[in-house]
Amino acid sequence: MREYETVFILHPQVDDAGIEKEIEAIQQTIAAGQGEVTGVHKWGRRKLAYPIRKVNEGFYTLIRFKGEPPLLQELDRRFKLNESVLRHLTVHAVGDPTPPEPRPRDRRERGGRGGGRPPRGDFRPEPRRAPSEPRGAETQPPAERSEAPAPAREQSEPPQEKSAES
Amino acid sequence: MAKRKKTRAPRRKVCKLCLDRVAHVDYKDERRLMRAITDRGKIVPRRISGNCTRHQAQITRAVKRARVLALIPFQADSYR
Repeated sequence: MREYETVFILHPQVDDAGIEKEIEAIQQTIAAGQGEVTGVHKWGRRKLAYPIRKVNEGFYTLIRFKGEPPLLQELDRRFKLNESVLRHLTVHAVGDPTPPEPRPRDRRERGGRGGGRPPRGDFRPEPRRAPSEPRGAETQPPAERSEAPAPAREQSEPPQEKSAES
Repeated sequence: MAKRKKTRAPRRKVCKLCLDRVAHVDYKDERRLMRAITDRGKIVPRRISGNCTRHQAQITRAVKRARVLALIPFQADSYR
């Protein structure tokens, strides 16, 4: 029996009760297939990096379990048939019993990058009226440049201009 | 004047992941993965990142998985 982990994304229109039901159903499928669930981690609603089936967010859940290959096939089959599941991915679990929960990308500060790498523009999805956390931080427009490199460029410009003038 | 290539492999530098003794790059490790892609969402090549073969392969695998799960984009400039 090897340990696996599956991440699946549920459609945002599924209500909390529905989410619970789906998770329950999966756990039962695992149990019925002589498997053993070792962990369930709900990541909650998250903005997607790109639209899937026309929606921009989804409910992420991770389940760790042990099982045999036939169980994996059955799980996969069920996920594919389930219309509420937007995406799923099953993978060998590697170490780390508590997998890192990826932080929602919405309000993360983009720090500067180390030297030697091409400067990275700021990728921000358009601010949406997401149901989660209506913070005032939505004043950050989807600018083409992140805040960090801009001041640096401004500082370097004046000396050049002065030398050109003289 | 001969033009020097801007992108030169930092050969003396070792793989940063090796320095930190990273055993496994997780596809869920968003922070690390975001550093491994360009602003357009492309995976930073080894000759620029300086990663060793093993870690670069792990990064690639993790990024591709994360893309499938919409944790990071496939293309970073065309979802408007």
